[in-house]
Order: sequence, then C-alpha cells, then structure tokens
Amino acid sequence: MKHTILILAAFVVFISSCKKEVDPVVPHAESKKVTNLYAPADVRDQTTGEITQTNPFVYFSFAKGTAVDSLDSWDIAFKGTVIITNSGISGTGQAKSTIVNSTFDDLTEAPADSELKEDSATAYAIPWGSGNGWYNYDPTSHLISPIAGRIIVVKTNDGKYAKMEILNYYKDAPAQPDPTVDQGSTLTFNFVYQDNGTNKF
Amino acid sequence: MRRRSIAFVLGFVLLSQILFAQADSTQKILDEIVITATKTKRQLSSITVPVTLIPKREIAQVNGHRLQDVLAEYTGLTTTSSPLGAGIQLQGLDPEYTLIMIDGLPLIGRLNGVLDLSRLSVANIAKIEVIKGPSSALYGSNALAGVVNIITEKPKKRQQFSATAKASTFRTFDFSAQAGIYSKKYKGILSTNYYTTGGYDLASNYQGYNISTDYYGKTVSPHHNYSLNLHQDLQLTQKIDLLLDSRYFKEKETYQFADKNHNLVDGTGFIKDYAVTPMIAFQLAQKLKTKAKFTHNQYRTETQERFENKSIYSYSLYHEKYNLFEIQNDYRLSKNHEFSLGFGYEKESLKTSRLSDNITFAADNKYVYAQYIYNRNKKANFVLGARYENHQNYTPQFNPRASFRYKIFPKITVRASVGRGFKKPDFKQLFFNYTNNAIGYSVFGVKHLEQGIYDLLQKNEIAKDPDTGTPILYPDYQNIINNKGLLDAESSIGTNLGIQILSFKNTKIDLNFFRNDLKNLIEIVPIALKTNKWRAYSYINKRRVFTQGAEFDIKYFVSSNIKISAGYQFLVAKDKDVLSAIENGQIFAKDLTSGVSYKMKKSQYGGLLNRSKHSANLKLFVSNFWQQTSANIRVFYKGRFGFNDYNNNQLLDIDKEYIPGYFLVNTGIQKSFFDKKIMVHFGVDNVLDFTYATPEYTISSLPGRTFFTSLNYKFNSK
Repeated sequence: MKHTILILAAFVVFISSCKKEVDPVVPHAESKKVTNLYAPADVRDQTTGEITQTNPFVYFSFAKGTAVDSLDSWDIAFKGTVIITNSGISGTGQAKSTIVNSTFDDLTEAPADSELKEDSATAYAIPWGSGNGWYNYDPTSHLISPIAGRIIVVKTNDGKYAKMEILNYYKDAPAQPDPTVDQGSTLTFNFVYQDNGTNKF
Repeated sequence: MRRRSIAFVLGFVLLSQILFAQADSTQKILDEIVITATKTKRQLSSITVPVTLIPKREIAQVNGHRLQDVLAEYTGLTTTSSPLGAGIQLQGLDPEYTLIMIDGLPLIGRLNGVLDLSRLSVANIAKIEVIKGPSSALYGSNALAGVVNIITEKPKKRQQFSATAKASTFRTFDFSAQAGIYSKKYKGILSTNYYTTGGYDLASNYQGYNISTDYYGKTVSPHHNYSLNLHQDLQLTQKIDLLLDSRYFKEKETYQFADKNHNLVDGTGFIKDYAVTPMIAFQLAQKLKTKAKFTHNQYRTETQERFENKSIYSYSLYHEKYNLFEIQNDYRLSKNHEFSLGFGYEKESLKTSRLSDNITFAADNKYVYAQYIYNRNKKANFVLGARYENHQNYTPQFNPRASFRYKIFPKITVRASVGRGFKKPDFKQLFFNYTNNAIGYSVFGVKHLEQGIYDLLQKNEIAKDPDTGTPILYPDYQNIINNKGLLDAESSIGTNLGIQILSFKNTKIDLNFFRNDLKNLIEIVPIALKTNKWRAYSYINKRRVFTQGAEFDIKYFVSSNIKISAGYQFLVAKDKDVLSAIENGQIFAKDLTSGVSYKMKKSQYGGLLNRSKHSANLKLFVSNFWQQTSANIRVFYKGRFGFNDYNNNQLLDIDKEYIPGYFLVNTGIQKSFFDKKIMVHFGVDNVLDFTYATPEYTISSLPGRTFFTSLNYKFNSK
C-alpha cells in the first residue's frame, strides 16, 4: 500500500513536470538556406601563380539573407574559398566573426564578443588556407570540401548575431562533386539570423 | 558418365592415400631450427614468441618472383602496395614498423619508412623467419611489430648447381642460377638473378578520363634488375671460422607521368644496393661461442625526370651509407642456463638532394644487449632479454622483453610474451630544411627548427601579431624548443598470448592474441604563420594508437602428400586520441547529401586506414599424386578496408570510404623428371581475374589474371 502511494506520488510529479513550457524568453530564429551563391576566385596563371584576372567580392547581408551591393550594409563577403568580414582591413563596418567547432543545431549560443575577431593584416577572422578555416583542399583531386563541424559565427554590422554552416562549394550541391565538371566557387549554406539582439539561436 | 567415372577414380585415389599413408609431419615442423627469435639456434618447438616459418619448399610451390609474392600467402602477413613500393603490415602496423633483415643484418634504403620488398628476389632464399611482436630487445629500431629475417641458401653438397627460368604475363622474365661447393675447409655459394618486367597499366579501366594526359604512364612501370650474392665460409681451425657475405643489387626503371598542367614527363630511376659483411666465429672455451661481424652497406637512388622537350623537370639523389660492428658472446652454463651478451656500434650517413645545401647527415649509435634463457625442463622455458642504445639523435632507449613457453599437456602448449619496441625518428623529421617555392609552405626537422625560424625572421617572412607586433609562433614551436630539439623515438608495448594444439599427430592448431599500444608517434604540426599566409611545419611526438586482434592457423596433414591449411586474422586498429575526442563530442562528420554536420559516434569510427578487420586463407596441397606431379590451390580473402575520407572529418567512418573485400585464387601444378633433376611448373595467379582500379584508388599490386611457367634444373653431387 505504501509503495502504491509512492508510485502514485512520483507519477503526479512526473505529469506536472511534463506540463512545464519550454523557456519562452528566446523565440526560435528561423533557419534559412542560400543556394548557389556564385563568387568566383581570382584567375591565376597555373605555372607562375600570378593573378591574371581579379574578380570582385560578393557581399552578403544576413539581415537581408541575400547578396548585396558593396555600398550597402554588408556582414561578410565571398571570393572563391576566401571569406572576409566587414571590419579592420576588409571594410569600414563593425562586423566580427569566428569559427566554432560544433554541429549547426548544437550551437545555441554565440561565443563571447571577445572571441569574435575583426580582419587584420595578419589574421583574418575566418582563416584562409586549406585546413585553417572552413574547408580542405585535396591537391591530387583539386577538390574543395567543407570541414565537418566548422560553424561560422558572425556578429553582424548591425550588432545582431548569425551562425552559418557551409554545405557545398559546387553548383547545385552535388553529393560527390567532381572539380573537373562541377562549377566551383558556388556556395550553398544554412544560416540563422537572430534579429532579437540576443546571442542565443 | 565419363566425367563421373574420372571423379570417382580421383576420389578413390585420395581416399586410399588418406587411409594408408598417415605420416607424422607436424613433428617435422616442430623440429625446424629458428635463429631469429633469440639470435641463437633453437628448435621451433622451444620458441617462446610467435613465429611464422616459410621453408624453401613452400616458396617453390608459390613460385613467385619477388619477396612480397611469398609473404602475402601467410596468415597475418598482409602486403601493402604504394608508390613507395611493396611493404608488409604485421599485426596491423605499417611497413615502417617491421624490421627487414638478410641473414640477421638490417636492410637500408627506406623511403618514407617503407622498404620496398620487390628489391628482393626469392631465388636464393633458404627460408624466411618472421617473428611477430616487438623484437627491439635484440634488434633495436624498427622491430616494433616484428622482424622478417631472410635466410639465404648455404651450400650443402660437395658440388651443387641449379638454374631456373621463369616467364609470366606482362613480359615478365626471371632467370637465376646458383653454384656451390662444400668441403670441410671451405664452403661457398654464388647466386645470381636477373628480373625484367614490362609492367602494366590499370588506369585504362577508368571511365570518362583522358588517359593520355590525365593518367599518363603505367600503374607499374617497366623495370629490370640484377642481384648477385656470394657466401663464403672458411674453417680456419677447428675453433675459428671465417665468413664473408657479399651482395649486390642494381635496378633501372623507366616511367612516365603528367604534371599538374598536363605536361608529359619521362623519368628514369636507378637503384644500387650493395653490402659486404666479413664475420669471424670462434669458440674460446667449450661453453663459450663468440661471433664478431662487420658490415658495410650502401644504398643509392638517382632519378632524372624530363619534359618532352628534354628540359629538366626534377633531379633527385639519395645516398645512404651504413656501417655496423657487432660482437655477440653466447655462454652455455649448463643445459638449463644460457646467456648471450652483445655490443654494437652503428654509423650511418646520408646525402640527399632533399636536404638543402646537400647537407650530409650522420648519426652514431652504440648499443648493448643481453639475454638469459632458462630451460626449466622439456616442458617449460623462459627468455628474458633487453637492449639499451645510446644514439646521437634521440633519447637513449631501453627495450626489455620477457617471454615463456609452457607445455601444459603433452599436446597443448601456451606461449606468452611482452616487450617494448621502438622506431627512431628519421632524417627528415630531424634535419629537413625545405621550403616549397611553388606553394609557399616550409618544413623544418626539429634539429633545424631554431635556425630555420631565425632565417625566416631575418627575411621578415613570419607574420606578426597586429596588436603586439610579435611573430606568430604556435604553441608547438615552444614545445619543440623546450624539448631542446630532441624528438623521442616512437615506442610500443606489445603483448602476445598464444596456444598451440597438436592432435592425432597430424593436425596443428595455433591461436595467438596480440595487442600493441603505440605512443609518441611523430606527427607533422604547424609551428608558425608566414607572411604569405602559409604555415611553417615541424615534427612533434603526439599520436597514440593501438592495434589488437587474433590470428588462427590450422594445418591438417591428411596423408603424407595431402596438406590442407586454413588461416584467419581478426584485426582492430584505432587512434586513441580520436576515440577520446569522439567521447568528448569533438569529432564531426558531414552528411554527404545534405552537407550538414553531425556528431560522430564511437561505433561509427572505423579506425586506421588500409586495414582489413577480417582476412583469411585456405590452401590445399597435393604432392606426388601421379607420376611425380604435384598441384595446389590457394584461396585468399581480404576483408574491406578504408582508403580515404569522404565526409570531411579526416577519419574513416562511412561505407564509401572502404574498398570492398575480395577473393584471390592462385593455383599451380608441377612435375619433375629425371630423378627430380628437372622440374616444370605451370600456374595461374588470380584465377578470378580480380582487379580494382578507379581514379580514387587502385590496388596496384593486382594486375588481374596472370599465367606463369618455369623450368628448373638441379644438379647435386653425392
């Protein structure tokens, strides 16, 4: 008899705890997807390595969710594998960014502002080069592939927070890209833009 | 009907042999002499560590050309192929962790750790002894996974002569001849071999590629080589024996490839390897034997690569010299107690175009080793040994090993051993000074690190922190400097536990469990950021891995001339640091279709690349079943193994990253004439014509079905 009461009591506690609502303070920001954002890299002579044709950066605003003009308020910009942040040597804005090791969904809070960086002459907030930042380059197959678990976090030019995961570097995001056939410099990525000003996603 | 009656007759013949020709062949195996396990001659039955013995008879049955053809046929001896050559994977460890020796002396000329086994002809091999588990207690560096010791042929008859000609698919020809004399005073034997192959190309199987420019050249390029071996033994007095071993090898290879801009390049490579080894053995007292040996060995490669217009694409030279002086004393106190004590001095030097300014790097090593064998009785013995070495370039190494054998029941024997093994850092890790001018990164060996960084700072090529203005050097730079530029040897602790069961006098079952724990594996790490946004790298001891598994072998002598054997290896090899990172949720993978990252689970981690969890073999040998004719069929299975990363976590975890498992079937038939003076052999390797060739991965050692035939003449005086 005593046991039955205990079990009943435990059951009541369990039911009531289930009724509790999820913390309503943070509304879940919407995840969006950008497909086939084409930002061609500079063209280089294959033997000398010198640039034969300079291409412009493609500027991006998380608030708008699209590519924007360089005169507009932009947050980051793309050219090939390079990503610059609108601050320091790269722009006149206030944007900062960094790379965090996580899955996209598990990253529920942006790192402290002290860990978000501006672009400087020696170090870009999103580091360049194979293995340093968001991608690997295979010198045999020439394949560029986004590194698993590298999430880019940006404090935007308007002081809001955004996170993004690059999914593919080739046109139409093929599961098995072939660099000799598929068009590179064509990004597909997921992002969340938190417009309520908190750093929680 | 006719077919049925033939089957019936054959079946009857086999049955009658099973019933009437019982033979005690397992005892013959157990009586064989092994020298590699203890550096002294001992019967196989008393050996305390796992051994695979490959006798001449079985080498002849396989009828391969080069060493890897023979080794690949045995349980636990997995051969690997790469542009660096054919190697051997023992207990799940890469080729660089197995010491390869000829008559107890190490071979030199390892490229990135791999000693190309195809340098070695099987023509003059008397037997091969493979010891599994760490053997650094006797042999020092590289004997981490084990030792392969090739015992060359010694003269046995007053006069002996033999000659063999072999031909096989892909314009491969192999000629060898051997002549020896034997008297009480002097014994000598001369062996020669010439091998040539037209090579083969597997890239022609690729779909949708322009072979002439994308995959110009062959998978295996045409090459030919000569080997010459001379063994001499002069019995000076009853107590003093003088020996002189000499060997010479020369190879030429011609190859083609296309550079990254599809320009065709023609290359020529030369390899030269020679060694001279005088030895003296004397017996100072009844119980004391002393052997002193000196060896001088040189290994030299030279390659020249030219564009079609004859301008030079690249030139490289690699010249290694090796000298060894060693004395070993064996003292037999009584039947129960045996002691060995050895001293040695090694001197190595290397000159190569891969070090800038043609630096010659030299290294000295002094070592001492001791061994104690306690033969308790016929049932049990115990071996304790250790080697200490003091090398110029790394911390002193102390490698003990303990092992025992105990015959629990008349038919059941257990063996256990535990030992430490190590591998010394190579010249690249110590002395490299290299900047890739085409791309821009730099690599420094630890001994050159401080100077290399100093030079870069002088040239303002190290990036500076914008806030403080100090050069950007990563933490590992300071870690290496704190180690005073010393790189520790890679080391392991290996344990083996085996049981051997003999039953019905004609079955031999061996089961061995192994585990190797490796630490301090040397890894290339970034140490500084350069102003050109590339990094400078050096080397540090970092990774920890383990391999473990079991090996099972059964030999069944159906009758004196029918033998069936089967073998199986189970293997797991993983990186310990990866495992703990997975536990901490720090390892991610990407879903290939969506491109979304997920956290990797421990169960998804497939371990180290290029290792099959399962591998097996099944062989049937029937000798002399009809008029001096013997035949065999051998089936091999190699389970799936990882080869690359596809979901961008640099780890083996999804199905696409594996090469599927496959079967190989080899078969041969041989017949002898004129009192075994002449032997004719015909066979087919890879009967099922299995190949695997895609632009991502090619099993370069498998060209498909090959036919071979050989003719052997043998003359022995009485």
